[in-house]
Amino acid sequence: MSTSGVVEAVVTDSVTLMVPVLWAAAGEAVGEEAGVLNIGIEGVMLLGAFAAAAGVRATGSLWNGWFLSIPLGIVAGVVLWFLYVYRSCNQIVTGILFNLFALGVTTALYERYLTGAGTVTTVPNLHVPGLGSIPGLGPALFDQTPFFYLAVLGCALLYYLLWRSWFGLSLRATGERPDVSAAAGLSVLRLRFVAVVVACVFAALGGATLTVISTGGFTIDMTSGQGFIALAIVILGRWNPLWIILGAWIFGLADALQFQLVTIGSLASVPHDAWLAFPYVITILVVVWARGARYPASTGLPYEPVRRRRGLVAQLFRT
Amino acid sequence: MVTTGSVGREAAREAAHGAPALAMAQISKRFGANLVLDGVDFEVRAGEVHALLGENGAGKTTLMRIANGLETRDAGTISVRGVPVPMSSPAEAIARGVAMVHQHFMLVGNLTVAENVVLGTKGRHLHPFVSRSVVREVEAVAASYSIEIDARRRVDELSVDEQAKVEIVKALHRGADVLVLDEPTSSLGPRQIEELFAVVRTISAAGIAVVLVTHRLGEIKLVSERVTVLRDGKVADAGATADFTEAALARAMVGREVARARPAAPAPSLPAPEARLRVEDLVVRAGREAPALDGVSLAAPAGRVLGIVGVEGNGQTELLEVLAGLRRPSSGRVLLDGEDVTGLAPVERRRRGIVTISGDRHRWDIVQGLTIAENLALHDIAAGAFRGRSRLIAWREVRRHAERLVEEFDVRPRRADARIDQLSGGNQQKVVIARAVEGRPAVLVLGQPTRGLDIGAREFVHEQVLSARAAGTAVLLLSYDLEELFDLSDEIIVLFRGAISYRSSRAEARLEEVGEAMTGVVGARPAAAAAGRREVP
Amino acid sequence: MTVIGTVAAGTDRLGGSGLERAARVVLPLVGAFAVICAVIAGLGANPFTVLGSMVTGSLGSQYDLAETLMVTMPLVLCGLAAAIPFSAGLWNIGGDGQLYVGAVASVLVGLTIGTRVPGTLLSCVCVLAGVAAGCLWALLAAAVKIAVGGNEVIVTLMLNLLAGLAADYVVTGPWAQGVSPQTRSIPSGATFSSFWQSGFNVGFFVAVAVALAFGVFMSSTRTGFGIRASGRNLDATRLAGFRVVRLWLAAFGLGGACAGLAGALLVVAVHGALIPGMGEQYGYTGIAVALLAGLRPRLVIPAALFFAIVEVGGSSLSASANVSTAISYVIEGVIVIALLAFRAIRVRT
Repeated sequence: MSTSGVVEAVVTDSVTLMVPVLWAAAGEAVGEEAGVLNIGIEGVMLLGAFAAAAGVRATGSLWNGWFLSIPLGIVAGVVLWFLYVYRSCNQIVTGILFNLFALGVTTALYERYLTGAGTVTTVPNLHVPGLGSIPGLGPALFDQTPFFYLAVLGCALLYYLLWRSWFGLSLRATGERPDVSAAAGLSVLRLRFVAVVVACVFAALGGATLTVISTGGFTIDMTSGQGFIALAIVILGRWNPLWIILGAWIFGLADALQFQLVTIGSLASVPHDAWLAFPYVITILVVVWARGARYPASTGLPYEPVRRRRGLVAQLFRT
Repeated sequence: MVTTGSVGREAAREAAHGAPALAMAQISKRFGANLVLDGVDFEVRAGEVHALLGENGAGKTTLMRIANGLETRDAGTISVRGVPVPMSSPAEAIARGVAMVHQHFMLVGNLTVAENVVLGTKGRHLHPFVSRSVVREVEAVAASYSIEIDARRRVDELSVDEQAKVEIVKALHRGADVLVLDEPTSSLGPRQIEELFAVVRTISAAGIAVVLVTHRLGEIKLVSERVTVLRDGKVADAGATADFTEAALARAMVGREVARARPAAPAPSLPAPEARLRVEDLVVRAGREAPALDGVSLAAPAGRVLGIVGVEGNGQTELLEVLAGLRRPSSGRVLLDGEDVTGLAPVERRRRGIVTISGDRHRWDIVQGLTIAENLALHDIAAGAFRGRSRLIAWREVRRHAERLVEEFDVRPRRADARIDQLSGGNQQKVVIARAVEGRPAVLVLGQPTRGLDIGAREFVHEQVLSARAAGTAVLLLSYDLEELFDLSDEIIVLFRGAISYRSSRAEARLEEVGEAMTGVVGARPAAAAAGRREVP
Repeated sequence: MTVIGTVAAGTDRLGGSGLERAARVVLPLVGAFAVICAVIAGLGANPFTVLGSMVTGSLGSQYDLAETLMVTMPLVLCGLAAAIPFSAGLWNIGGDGQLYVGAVASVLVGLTIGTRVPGTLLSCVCVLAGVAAGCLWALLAAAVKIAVGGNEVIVTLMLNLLAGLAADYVVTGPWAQGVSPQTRSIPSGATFSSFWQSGFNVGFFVAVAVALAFGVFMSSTRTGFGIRASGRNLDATRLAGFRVVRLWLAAFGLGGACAGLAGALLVVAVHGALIPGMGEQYGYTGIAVALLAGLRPRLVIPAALFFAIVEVGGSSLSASANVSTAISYVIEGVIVIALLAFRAIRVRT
């Protein structure tokens, strides 16, 4: 393949490959800005991927499968909110355990109900007339899987919600100083509820996207670390869903490179894994060098409101 | 959004017809075993500046937190403009027009002034936050009270007095009719204080009731119309500011039968006591306009107790930190037996014989989750002690050591392997003191050693202080508690605005003078010229 | 000390009467059991039959027991890899990656110098290489935290992914075996010889010995004591005279060394080569083990044993049981999450 052909293929693939982590990272930015770090994002993505695959198998429609991940994301969000915020469980450890659980559940359910060949279809790309014919960038951006456009739309909405709306202001204040938010009359519990549910729904949609843009089927542990990558993208994108698009693209690019560059003689000797490694290394470098890239002050910390509730049940459950 | 100006004037008109803007009646509050407020009555009228005076632990901040819905009350009623209200949450307080500017500002550093001011405004949720119009709105509110702020700046880039203004604008924006200022001037310089009071005058002229919680009498006289003095959780006196002399206020604040129950213990027989510890001209700037410590010099002789008192915020904390080795002074020296120890780390100081007990044992002295024995041995193990030949910690030794101390200092429960978080505050403090005095240090610095302790534990601590004194240790006792100070000290020093405003031997010290020195009364007994006294504006 | 007391007192003191403390442990276990049964039933199987066959599958015969003990080996080590740094308040989520670099290092040494060095010596060198590699991998994350205060959770996660890539590369690249997806085997003289049943060998005892040694280390050495204290109160520990940086480096380094040892032993004592996926989530499960053990090294052994029973039991489930071997992860996750939610285990931040 000619060099320009390879470049075009790489760019097109990169945009496609970035979509799942883009969904997850955009949602996670909202959660983290409210003060909740969801290491369990990997598990939620996996659950979303499974839900989509199950939906595809059950209804035969990729879109139905994809939408099915939304209620699953809501349930996951409620459960995780309960653990992280209401019970103030340590967010890091609980997230890891949730991932373990999700891996087990999806694998078990898959092996029981989803093995066997399913339909191998893909959702046709959405072609934007005119723009789609621009050489180089055209096909990559304007003749793409519809999930890409949806993701960008989602990012725009979340950007507005987080950085341009009043609700976002309350959310961000809560992530930085929950005590100040509470003194201002806001409900930290309620704000974090919305944030965690949004984060989980988007993560689930990310996982669902992973399913539907590949074959519509599920494979064990199919996210293989993409949830963690999303955590890195959130930092790269400085918790701004618009910059996160760029951050996700860098990872998508690395992913695409490892497939395509093998065909170019001079670069064929570079192992695939090196291309995949480079975004991880970049993330570490960002953590080291970008002092401005710090988590909102209360992220990961349990919030203990001043007032204590009475009652035997409350006492039993809430020491 | 209500424009505060019109509400204020409205309230002022109402006030002429009687109901105070905020009235608190028979308020009581207990924290654990501690009765912090005991039947306190307090009210403030629209358009007046009412000062709330009291020393540490008198209950002023607690009373105001109750007024703001941040604490619950055990008894008593709160009425806003004559209407009794539950005041059960900060949201309710805001809704009813009561706002408070805390000592530690409740501001989100990485948000702008405008964003901080409007945070919590109800009902807009998904609407766009249009920065420009919010900024304009906030600056308009500020301007209507002649307050200058740039609402576009990030709060963490502002100076302390600018942040105080932001807090005030925040309250005004919420339509506050009652504004409580909790020790607003503690880190401000004279010029900034002037500006702040100009704002206070403007606000009260507009009909807003202002409560000024403070211990600085000069300021009370300058800006308030009425004053209430709290002492030990009760109202000691109240009335029009003009009717009180500063001396009278100081007396009301500290006045009690300071039971000289303990006769002055005979000084241990040493020839003229040598100063073991000297502090020379200590200055700590702490990034503020008015330095936290402004040229403090003192000498602590062996076998004597040097009591240092002052209301919180006048430099005690910084002095303690410098003595402990937790903070480097901007200039000045600390000398132990002539040797300069100013730059030494805490562990080095302990090795040379300066042992410090901070006022915050949960942060600096005690490791929760470890046992009593482990806590007692903490410093020693860090220094490499208690290790047998195998270089492993000899726990039997540690336990024996701990059991001895637990016995000697009567720590309950008497089990060296009990976890320290299971102990009461008093017993935890016993552990801290046991560890400190065990090595018979040359100098013992104690920061608020009896804070939060019950009578029995206080007694115990006092006995330890006196026995250290008898053993020849130079003791520096930093405290907010006048009674304790008079009981134990051989010499009394008062800190005000970072400088020594009073120095006297115990025999000659008079409570009223000490009280006046604590509150910055001009004309109080002059301290020795070398100590450097600050004039109150 | 009873088991209840152990779990309850694990990482933080609990208040309340004896009844409340017991409830705090019993209720989550009951709840977890209910959820697990529901999941198994949802898979179309009888929970009691399945759980029963898991127990017999892991403990029923000597062969099974041997297998269980060999799975306990990496779980103990990965449990330590989490427990030691967690005791210092440091989040070492990198057990997975440290394990794989340990495995890679072992294979590297085994294959490069394997022909020139006699068997037992080779074993030791391979193992030491693994330990060193794991230790260094962890110290990378520690360095970032110490130097710039960077979040060690993200860094360790990234290092996990990088280590995974390294392992993949090694399997498909320079040391590929060619036939099956794994590296070439290290010389058989270097692998531990098995006795008793099913591949059981000395590796298990190595893991147990390491755990016991760390038990002594954490309770009775100055550094171990400092690590524990710093996790509880950093300021007071620093004021007492401990050098916090050294404590942190020790905690991370030792944790990484344990995980690296796990990887090395998986090569030398189990598979003889690096097989993709042989790390089997041990790095993450190790975190659960550490929590269940209340971060106490000696208790990591029974906690790891419990998890091993679950895992071997799971893998013994036949295909006809409808229940995947992955049910182990469900059981492990649900139990520990339930204990966390009911405050039976508390982890301080």
